[in-house]
Amino acid sequence: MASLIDETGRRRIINIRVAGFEISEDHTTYQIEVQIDSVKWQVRRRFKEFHYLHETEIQGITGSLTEYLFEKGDLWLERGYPFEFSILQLYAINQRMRLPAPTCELGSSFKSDFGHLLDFISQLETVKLTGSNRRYDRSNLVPNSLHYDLSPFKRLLRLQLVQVNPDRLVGAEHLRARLLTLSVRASVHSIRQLLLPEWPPHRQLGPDAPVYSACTSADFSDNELSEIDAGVKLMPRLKRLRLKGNSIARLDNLDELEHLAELDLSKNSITKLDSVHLLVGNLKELELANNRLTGLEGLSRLYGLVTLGLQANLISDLSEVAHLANLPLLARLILADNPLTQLADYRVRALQLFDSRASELVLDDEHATAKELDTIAVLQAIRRSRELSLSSSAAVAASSCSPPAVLPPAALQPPFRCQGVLLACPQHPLPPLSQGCHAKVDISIEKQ
Amino acid sequence: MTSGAYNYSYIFKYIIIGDMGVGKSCLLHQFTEKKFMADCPHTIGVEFGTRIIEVSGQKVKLQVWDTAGQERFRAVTRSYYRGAAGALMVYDISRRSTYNHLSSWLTDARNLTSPNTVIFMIGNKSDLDSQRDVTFEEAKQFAEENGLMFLECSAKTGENVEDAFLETARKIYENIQNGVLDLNSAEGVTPKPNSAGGAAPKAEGRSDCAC
Repeated sequence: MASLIDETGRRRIINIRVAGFEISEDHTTYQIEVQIDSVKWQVRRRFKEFHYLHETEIQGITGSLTEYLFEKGDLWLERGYPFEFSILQLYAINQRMRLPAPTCELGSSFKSDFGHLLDFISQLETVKLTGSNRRYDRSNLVPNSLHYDLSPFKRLLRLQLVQVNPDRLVGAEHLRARLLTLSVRASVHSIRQLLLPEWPPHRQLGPDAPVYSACTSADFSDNELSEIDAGVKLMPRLKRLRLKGNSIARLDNLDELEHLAELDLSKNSITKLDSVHLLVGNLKELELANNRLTGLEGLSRLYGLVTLGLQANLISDLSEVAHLANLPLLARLILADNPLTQLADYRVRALQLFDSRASELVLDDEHATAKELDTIAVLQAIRRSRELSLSSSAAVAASSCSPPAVLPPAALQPPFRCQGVLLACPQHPLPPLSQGCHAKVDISIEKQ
Repeated sequence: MTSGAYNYSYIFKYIIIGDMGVGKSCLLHQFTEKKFMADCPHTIGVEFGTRIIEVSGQKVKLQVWDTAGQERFRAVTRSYYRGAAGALMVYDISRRSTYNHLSSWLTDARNLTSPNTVIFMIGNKSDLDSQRDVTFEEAKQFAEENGLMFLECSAKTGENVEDAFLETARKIYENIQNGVLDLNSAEGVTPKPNSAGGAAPKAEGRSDCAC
C-alpha cells in the first residue's frame, strides 16, 4: 500500500527481503517481507503470483476501479444507486491524487485514465464507506489507521459509514451545507466526534459552531453513545433521528431540534422520562422498545404523538398507560412484552383507557376486536351511568328546574351482549340506574 | 435527475497550470459551479472537476485537472500533462512574476503534451484592473508569438471564464473534425463509453430514494 516516492518527491524507506523459501515438486514458494516506512507485511508467493502484489498498491486499486467505472459509472449514476468503497480504496484514491504519476499509462487507452474514476466520484450522490479494524490481508496495515478524505465527493448527499475511524476523517467540511442523510454504524462514541472533529472537545458549542444545515435524517444506531451529546445540535434541521442500540440513559440536547418528528431510542438504557414534551414537542413517532422504563407520565403531554413503541420495557401498572389517554393523535401503541401484558384482560383494560378512541387505536399491532369494543362499551356505559347518577343528583340538588339529564348515545344501544367477558372492576357493585333513563340495559356478567 | 448528465459524445481532458495563487482552482470552481470560491485553500497534488458543454451541437464532457502551483508539487503537476487535449495556462495580471514564469510553464506544456494539445493562455483577476502589473497588449503579443489563444478573465466576476474553456473545446473539436487529432491515440479525447451490454437500460421507475 505505498508508492516508492511520496507526494513531495522524497523517496520512502523501503525494505524488501526474502525471508525464506520452500521447494516443492514443481515450484518454489518465497517468503517475502516488505517494509515501506513503518508499514511491514509478509507474503508467501509463487513466482508467478508476484503480480498479485501490484493489486495491493495504489495504482492497482485505483486502476481496477477506473476500468470498471469507465464502462459502468454512468449507468450507476443514472440509477442513483449507492456505491460502496472500502476505506482502503478511498485511501488509495486520495493518495493517487498526490502521486507524481500520469493519469494513464503510456500507450494504454484513455479508458484507463484515472480521471474517469474521479469523474464518477465527483458526481456520486450516495456513498457507503466501510472500514475495518483488522489487518489487511497479510500486512500489518489496519485500514482504520489510514486517513481518508471525502473532498473528492463533490455532489455527495447521502453518506453511510460502517465501522470507520472518525478520527481519521478529513475533508468533511464541504459536506456541511449539502449532506441530506447521514448514517453511522459501529464507529463513534459521540456524535460530536464525527461532526465537529476540528474543535477541541471541551469547547462549548455556540452559534459559531459550523452545522450540517441540510441534514434531515441521521442514524447513529449501534454505536457506543453513552448519551445524546451536544453534537446532535450540529444538525438543526433533523426530522428523523435513530439512536437504536447505544447506551443512552436520558434524553438530552434535543430541545433545539424543532423539526424532529421521528425519534428511535430502542435498545438503550432509559429508565425514566421527564416532561418529554419540553424537549421534543413536535414528535410524531417515538420508539422506546427494549429500554427499562417503568413509568410513562413524562409522555403525557406529547400531544403530536401518533406512534409510540414501548415493547419490552418494565411497565407493570395500567395506571401508567392512563398517562397516554390524552394524546389526541395517538394511533399506534406497542406495549407487548411488558409485565402489564400479563394482567388479566390487559387489552380491554388498556384500550378502555382511551375511551371513545379505543376503536381507532392499534394496540400491539392489532385493532380492537368487536368483542373487545363491546366490553369497553359496557364499561363505558356503566361508568357514564354512574357519573350521570352522580351528576343528576347533584343537579337536582343544585336546581330543580334544570333539564332532565340524557344518557350519552353509547349507553343507548341495548341490548348488550356481554357473555364471557369480565368487567374492569367487578368488585364494585353496579350503581342504580337513574330514574330518567329510558334505556333498558340488560347485562349479565360472569364473575371470575 | 436529468439524463442530460450522461448524454455526451466525447470526453476532453484539460489541465490547468500556472504559478501558485493565480486562481487556477477558482477558475475551475467558477466554471463547474458558476460560483466564486472566496478563501480557496492551496491545492495539494491535484484537484478535479467536470462539466458538460456543447460544442457545434455536440455534447462534450470536460474532465479538468487543476494542479498545485507550488514548486514543491512540480513533480506531481508534470505527470498530469500526459494525454491532455487542452491546457489552460494561467497568470495573475496583478502580479508580474506570475507572467514572467509563463515561459517556463510553456516549456513544460510543450515538452509534456502532444503537439496537438491546445494551449490557452489566461490572464486572471481582470477585476483587479487598478492593480494591473501586466498590460493586455503585452500579453497578447506574447501569446501571438507563441501561437497561443489568449483571454483575460476574472474567476471572481466570472467574466470570460466560460469563453476560455469553450474556445479551447471548440479548437479541439475542430482538430478532430480536420483529422488532426487521432481519436485512437491517447490524446485526451475519448468517445463516450458504451455501457456494456448494449443500450443502457432505463432506470426502472425507481425514484431517487430519499432515505
